[in-house]
Amino acid sequence: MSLEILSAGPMLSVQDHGRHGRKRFGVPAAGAMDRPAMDLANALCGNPLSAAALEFTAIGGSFRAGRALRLAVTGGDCDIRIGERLLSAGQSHAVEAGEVVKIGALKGATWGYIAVSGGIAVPEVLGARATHLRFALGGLEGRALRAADQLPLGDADETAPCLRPRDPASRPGPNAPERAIRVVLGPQDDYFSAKVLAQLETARFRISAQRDRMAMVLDGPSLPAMRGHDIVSDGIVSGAIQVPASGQPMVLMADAQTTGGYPKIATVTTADLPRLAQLPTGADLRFEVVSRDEAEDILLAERARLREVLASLVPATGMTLSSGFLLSCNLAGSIVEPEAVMGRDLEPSKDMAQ
Amino acid sequence: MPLDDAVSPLIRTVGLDGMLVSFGDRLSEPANRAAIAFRAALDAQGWEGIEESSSSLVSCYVRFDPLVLAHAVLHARLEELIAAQDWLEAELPHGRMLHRIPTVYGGTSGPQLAEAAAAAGLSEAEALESLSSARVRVTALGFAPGQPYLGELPECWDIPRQQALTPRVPKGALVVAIRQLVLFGVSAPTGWRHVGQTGAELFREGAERPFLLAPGDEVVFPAVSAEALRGMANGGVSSEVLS
Repeated sequence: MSLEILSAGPMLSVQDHGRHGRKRFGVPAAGAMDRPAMDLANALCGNPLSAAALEFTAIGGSFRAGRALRLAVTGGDCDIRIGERLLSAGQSHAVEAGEVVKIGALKGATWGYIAVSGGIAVPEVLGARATHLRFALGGLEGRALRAADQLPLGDADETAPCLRPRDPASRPGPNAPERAIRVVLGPQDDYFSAKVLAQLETARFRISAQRDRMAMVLDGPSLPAMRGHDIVSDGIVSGAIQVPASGQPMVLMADAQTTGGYPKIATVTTADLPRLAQLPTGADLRFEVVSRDEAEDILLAERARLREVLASLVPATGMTLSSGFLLSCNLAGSIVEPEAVMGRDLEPSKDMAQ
Repeated sequence: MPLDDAVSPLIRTVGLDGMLVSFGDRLSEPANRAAIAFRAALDAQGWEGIEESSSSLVSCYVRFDPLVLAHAVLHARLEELIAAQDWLEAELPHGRMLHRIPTVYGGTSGPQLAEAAAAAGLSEAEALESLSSARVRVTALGFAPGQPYLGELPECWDIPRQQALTPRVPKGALVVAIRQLVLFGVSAPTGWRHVGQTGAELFREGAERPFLLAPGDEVVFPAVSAEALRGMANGGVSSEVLS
């Protein structure tokens, strides 16, 4: 039983938690850009959090259910329709066999997630189903999904109820510039002068249009490395802020390659990386340096918050909203064509090559 | 301000859950051997809370769960392990292999051979002879699955990377810069010069050994014609145990 793709947004791919533990063989992790959002989508469908779901940006696409299933969209607000029915993001919905679900523009966020009960059951490659688009690994033939693709689904108990969080989503809007992105200095902070390290905290940076699943290039002040921008390649992690010779910082994301030859001034904390990933292009941000101990406390608090969200799901009953109601709430948008919103945002950045 | 070798190895912080042990700030054969041996030794300790370790050219990255293994504890243990022996004198891994990977040099298969040869101060024929007879070591796997960095070539190959990127070299491309070779496991852009083409599969899902190469292995890239390579199964790669 499968999910048929009738049309796909510009960057629709199968993702899960990624393939970790194989960095020494050069295998990049991949996986969701916003893991907490994907975890919520899976939980809403009664899936284990390790299940594979679909990740999209800008616009989702149209999908025909090959069997009765539950479906949830998370990451941001989104237009979801089955025929004339308008459905809300952030909760699961029952979809009958043969019905077509249209998932439109994502609002106020960059990465959206579509989970279906049973999970996307493409074969695992090196222990995961996540797609690494650049290296054509995992997912469906290692590529972005397109019209006419058939995705196999795992088994699920379709007598289970649809779910929603008891409280509305607790993550603040991505445009909350007062909340700094917290970083831990290093591994190569000693390549930068005290003045540049101070600038990392005081300056405002802006999310440039050069961004994809591999990295985000930031506009802002140049961060020159007093000891030079060429280092012997060493291990890279997602969240690393590397600074090539241009002085323009680049944050490595879920699809980061395993090694790189530029100094890394700091590393974004695990808790704040999904929030950074969700910032819209053109958004301003600032960094705040925290100690490893503080980063550990932040991570513990974030994990506890996420556990709380996942533990507080309650059955969603009769939540289909009328279009009149949505219009009165100013929530109903139109389903737009991918070309209208894709722009040039997702072209690969040049500095990512060796 | 280069690092003083006397103060290395250095332990660096990589975010909340990583540390990097560096054995130098430039590539050298002993520092590379140290990184490979240190990773194997770290692996052999079996410390609870270690999630993975990985060696690159001259450093070893370790990822851990800070809620199981406190970073102060890991830092102290790493210092102890660093002090346990002179890692720059460490032996190469046991059971390493020698691989022969047939390569088509120059022409459309290696469009930048002439340019690379000129940068190295060699004629195209001399460059082909030098590259196809060099026996190089896998110093690290990185960037893409199973993709090796190989070194070091004779000194004349200390040529810089190009300023502009080549938009795309094919999978199996052999590229050269800074006394090293990289054999691409995927099609990718690169600043290194494309001198030859192989049919090597660096990664095979489901195989008993999914990755052809391992750090410490040695490789030669003998020259063959494009026609000969086309007739070879599995890119004509042959492998034998060295030690």
